[in-house]
Amino acid sequence: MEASREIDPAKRDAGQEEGLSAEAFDPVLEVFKRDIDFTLVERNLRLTIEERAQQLVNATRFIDKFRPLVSGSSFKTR
Amino acid sequence: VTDFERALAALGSGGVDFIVIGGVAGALHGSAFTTVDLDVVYSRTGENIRRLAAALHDHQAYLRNAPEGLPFVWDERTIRNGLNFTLTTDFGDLDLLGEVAGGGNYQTLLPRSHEVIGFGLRFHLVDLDMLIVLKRAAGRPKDLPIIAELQGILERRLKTTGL
Repeated sequence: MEASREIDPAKRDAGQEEGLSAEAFDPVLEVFKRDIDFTLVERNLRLTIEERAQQLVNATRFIDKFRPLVSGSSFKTR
Repeated sequence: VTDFERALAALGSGGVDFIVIGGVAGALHGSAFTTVDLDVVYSRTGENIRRLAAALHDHQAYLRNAPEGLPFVWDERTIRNGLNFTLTTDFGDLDLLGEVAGGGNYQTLLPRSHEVIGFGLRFHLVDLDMLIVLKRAAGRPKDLPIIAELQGILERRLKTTGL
């Protein structure tokens, strides 16, 4: 539950104050990049935004359809 | 799982000023990670708060993970007295943020967003570089693979367009 909570101004402006930038090199992120399948990303980048939106809708419908089957079985996700 | 089309239609048809951030923004920028809820930063002007209250009035908005039966009423007063709301609605989970770590509020984030058409609707989407800044500022370990992927997308974009 989260509501009506004031954000710490220092944290709110963390991006500006700490000089966080999108491109900043981070060795931890570089490790994660090795495991990412960028062929999926490159396929997505060839789509229009509307097509990406439709893809997301399809994915959520798929999850909606099959999640009850998984949660009702003995299969545990964690 | 959120019905993004219905959620955005409710906000859009209600004339609410908002910017899409979070996983939906990532997916629209090309991320292969999927998401099940919608995160938006909304404007805290009096007029927009009135519109936001009306837009969700008929959608059974309630605090997510809160015990049932709390005297929670989704109206202008509640929004004005609060700031960030994690809600369940009849179209799924919706996070409404008056302020976001690393990005400030709607007014400060607006120049770092652009208008797009998606889900058959026109709305503001946070720019990719700003989305990465927001994810980094949130400081959640679960976001690390997503940030790495978004950085990869940004690097590819810089390589191909120089922008």
